[in-house]
Amino acid sequence: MSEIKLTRVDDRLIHAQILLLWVKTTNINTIVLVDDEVANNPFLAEIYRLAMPTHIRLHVKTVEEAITYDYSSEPELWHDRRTLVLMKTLDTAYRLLDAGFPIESLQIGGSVVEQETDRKKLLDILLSQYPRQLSYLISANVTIYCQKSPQTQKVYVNKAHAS
Amino acid sequence: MISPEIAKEFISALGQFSSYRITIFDDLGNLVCSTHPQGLGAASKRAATVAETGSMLELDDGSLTYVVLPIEADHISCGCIELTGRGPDIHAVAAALKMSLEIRLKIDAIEAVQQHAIDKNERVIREIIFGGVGHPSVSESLERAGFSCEIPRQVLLLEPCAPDFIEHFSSINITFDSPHDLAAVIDGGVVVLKDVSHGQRDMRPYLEEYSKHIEEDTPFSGLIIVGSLSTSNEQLRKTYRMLIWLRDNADRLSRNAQVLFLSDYLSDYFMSMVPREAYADVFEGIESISKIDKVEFVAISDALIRNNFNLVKASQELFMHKNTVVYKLNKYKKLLSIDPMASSTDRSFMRYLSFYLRFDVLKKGGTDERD
Repeated sequence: MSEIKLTRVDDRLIHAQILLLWVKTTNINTIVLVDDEVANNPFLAEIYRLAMPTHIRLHVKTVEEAITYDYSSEPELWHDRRTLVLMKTLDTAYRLLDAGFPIESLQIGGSVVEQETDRKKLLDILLSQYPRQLSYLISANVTIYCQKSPQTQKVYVNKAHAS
Repeated sequence: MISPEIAKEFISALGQFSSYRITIFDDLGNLVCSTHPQGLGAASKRAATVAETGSMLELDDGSLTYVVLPIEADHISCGCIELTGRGPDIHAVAAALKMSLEIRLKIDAIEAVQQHAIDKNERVIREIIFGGVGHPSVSESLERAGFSCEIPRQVLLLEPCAPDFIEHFSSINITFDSPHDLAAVIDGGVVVLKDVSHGQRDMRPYLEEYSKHIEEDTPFSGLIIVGSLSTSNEQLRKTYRMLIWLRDNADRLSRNAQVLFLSDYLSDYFMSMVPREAYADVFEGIESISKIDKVEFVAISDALIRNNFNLVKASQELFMHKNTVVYKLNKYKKLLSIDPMASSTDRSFMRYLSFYLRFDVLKKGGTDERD
């Protein structure tokens, strides 16, 4: 069954950790990179696409395109699409959710998480950078957690309550 | 060493998008590939310097900017990439290109190692499941390939419904709870020799959990056939043969099932081992058998057996009204003096007769005799 397996915020976007750890652990075969800047720059999008191993398809979308994109459609490479939705900032996650994109769980990685593991300090950093966006995501009952790599513990920012 | 194939792929893909001259050099400063391969004499010297020092180099001659970045694989310089031109984003593009190329080289190296491991697995699995007279024992095969024969293993067959799973199998992670599992693509399916150390006490639930993991946590969709009897490694070859039998009879035994456990079909397996002549000895003399519609009898028996003699479910599967199935059963009751709905002995009779009649049905190509 084709489905979104992971939604991640990572300011580095495509990098070795994503492709060698997360993709492997969760058997991702499709990455949807949601970033207006990259999507509007075909050259940069092509650079990211070239980094992909042969078994992974990368689709670069603007926020608007990502909302209307059919994540369960028949892919050209895989019968069952296991998708990672990747974005640079919490603002993109906020915009996606606000426009009706389904986000149940959001993983935060990247430089903030690389530097800090203490939950309180992580919350301070995230709230100082994205107060409005984070509040909106929490009020929408999205589970939010920080995780560096599949081997490290999840640090929960918010655990969704059963509806 | 930068793979020339990857370098060419980068250059040919990027050449159409950028006004920058993009050039890739090896660790000695020799040209590997470029969007504009003419007049690169000076560039080659710059490349050799960067490859040697491992540091970035930037030059500006007033009309053009040259940005040269080292390319590393496992912290060792294996070449460099140079961007030449004029543009505000030359540094950002150079950095993105370096990152992209380094990731690709790293993945390429890892995939080569993984492929090597899979090739090794395939060799040992083939030896284990196809080995015959004169071939080493399972323990010898495992030990010779560096795998422990002390670990209890069970065979599973993964029969995918789409070819992509097989095409990209080397990139798929089917690891569950042990690094000692062996898996390889054999004859269009995947054979897994699963380490079942953690399931010794309760094998069936353990293997159910593993099958669920394959279905939910990997891109696999298709049929999983599980050798679910606790046996020793030396039995792997025989278990594999039984699983192949189950695979070939899967559609008859359990239509639309996604996971089949060998232990559920032992009576069918044993029945298939009995020579046809033995069935003929019993059934050939019964005159009333010639009066029944063989195709119909086999279809109705199969549906009843698959659905544990549940009339409603069987009739749904047969696209028949329940009363129609009852009518047919009454017909068999009169002709053969059997009542499979009431007697377990008659259910066995129906099962054996159906198995016997199947030979004739198959011989006629499985076509409906009534046509």
